[in-house]
Amino acid sequence: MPLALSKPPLTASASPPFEAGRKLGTVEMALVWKLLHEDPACPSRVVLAKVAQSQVPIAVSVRHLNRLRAKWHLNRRKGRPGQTALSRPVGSGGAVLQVTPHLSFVGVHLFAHWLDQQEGFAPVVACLRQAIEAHKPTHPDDDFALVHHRDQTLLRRFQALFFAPLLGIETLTGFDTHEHPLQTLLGRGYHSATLTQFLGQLERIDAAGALIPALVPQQVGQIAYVDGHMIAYWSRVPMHKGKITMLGRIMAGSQAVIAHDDTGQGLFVEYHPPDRHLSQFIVDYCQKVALATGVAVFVIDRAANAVALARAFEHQDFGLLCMLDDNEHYGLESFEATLEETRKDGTKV
Amino acid sequence: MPRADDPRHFVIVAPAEGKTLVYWGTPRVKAPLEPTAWPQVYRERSARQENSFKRMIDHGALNTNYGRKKIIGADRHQQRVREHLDQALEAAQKRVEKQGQKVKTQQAKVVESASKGHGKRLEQRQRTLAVLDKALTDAQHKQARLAEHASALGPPGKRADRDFRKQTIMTIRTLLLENALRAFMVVLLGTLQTQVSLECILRLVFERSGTRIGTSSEVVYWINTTGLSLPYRRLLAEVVEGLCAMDLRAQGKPIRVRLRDMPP
Repeated sequence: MPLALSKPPLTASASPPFEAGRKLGTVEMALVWKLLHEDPACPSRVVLAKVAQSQVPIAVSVRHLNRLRAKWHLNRRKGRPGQTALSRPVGSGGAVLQVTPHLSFVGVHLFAHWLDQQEGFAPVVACLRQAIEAHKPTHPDDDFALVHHRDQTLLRRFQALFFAPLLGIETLTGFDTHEHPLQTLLGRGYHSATLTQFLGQLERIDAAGALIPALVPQQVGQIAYVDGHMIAYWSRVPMHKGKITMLGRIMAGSQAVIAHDDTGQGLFVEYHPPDRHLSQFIVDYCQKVALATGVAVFVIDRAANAVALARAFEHQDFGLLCMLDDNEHYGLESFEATLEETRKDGTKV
Repeated sequence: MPRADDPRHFVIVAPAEGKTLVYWGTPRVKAPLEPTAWPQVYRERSARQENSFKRMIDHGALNTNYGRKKIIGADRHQQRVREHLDQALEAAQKRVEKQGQKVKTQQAKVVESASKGHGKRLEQRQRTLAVLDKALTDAQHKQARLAEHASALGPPGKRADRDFRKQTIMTIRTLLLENALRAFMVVLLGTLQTQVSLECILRLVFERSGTRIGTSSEVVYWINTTGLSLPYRRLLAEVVEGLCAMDLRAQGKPIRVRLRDMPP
């Protein structure tokens, strides 16, 4: 009769209480228990070898391990192990215990659980699904993988892109060169080829436009702050150039124009070539933000200080708050001002 | 001097020391915001955007380029230069014509003085003619130089723009991540007594390794504390308590978070 069958059956309630002892901590005990649970007929020496392979330091003797096995009713008879075919894992119907002895980026896992609880990705998947459905009738001949993805696949692949920066992966090739915990985080790992393909297919269905509503919260603030962010780009092809201010160079790149509301929530983003000045497209941009979010009052930095711009905003019935450039005035003498308020620190408004 | 049809309203802040700051807004801004609040609202721009950009660069890969596709189009730089040169050429042409006219008039005056036998006036007019001649030559020279520049520009060129579609998708990803992290921090800070920054949480909790044990009734995450100084360990312990208080769940099972001291 196989040894394993003589053991009491393990049920969901059979996972033992792991109380840290003097020699073994809870995690070590759980790992040993898991290995024994998978193969109750495994000799203790082999169990210790397996534990050593998982790089969890355990300094106990075979005798000590045997005592634990007896306590957990996972001990085997003396003598050589029986035939492999005869030893069956106990309770193979359902895993009672899962131990991941080495888990990197623990906080990211907790954050992912929190996001799942909040259903944080539901709007994203809905937007992507909507974009796919909108793409189908306009491009009936298009037949690529994304069109056939289930929601679960869309979710997992987008999550892989989403969590990448938190895992220290910036470019997609990092998925091949960096050790990452996608397997424990999402239940499966991805290579850069899959995600590059996924991103390319998102590009085909114009997912950027479709994902904007996922950025907008249910309650948007009254004001939108707008600012540009330049990123340098290196290419051998002659490209349009602009002043990439962070590097102080005239070079190729891109200009992200990003809007935040007054609570700091990112609302909208649009990219422009670096040679176009913000003032050339800001009115159109604000129209799009207003359409997407309903915000009609904008705060923009001092780069925009023209009367023409104020008139354009006024014409659109938008509010614009800005700062006058220091070179445009000579202090108080440039204005006929009325005093409204004197603050405690002596500042006059 | 107030400009005609200028819709701007100004709010001037004159601090006791330092330079005067001038804010302006269109009339629509006055409805939701009192003008005296404008400086404060404007100042918050740094916290809302500049700092947000720094955070997104740091842990959101905002500065990473995605996608290599390029769209070849007209060379806008060349177009701008050409427009500028065309304007300059037009102005130079007018100047040459004007100077030519002046020279002709002056030449007529010189001829008149010579025929009438003027002495001193002839000399004055000849001197003025010389000056005008030089100005005409200069204007012609400038026009020729501009024409040379214009012809050197050659036929309309081509220049590439980036295809920003992938970049936009990934920036939206970054914004979604930043929004989610902000919301997570709001909930976490609600359970803590100590003020902790997002950067600190990322280093202290997100990037730490540990262990996960899942049983039939709960999931336990152990966070390694190896290498942490005592103050940071205390802070991590408080954060762990806060995480437990957030009532996190994995597939319906409660999540517990614990610290794990590993041997060095």
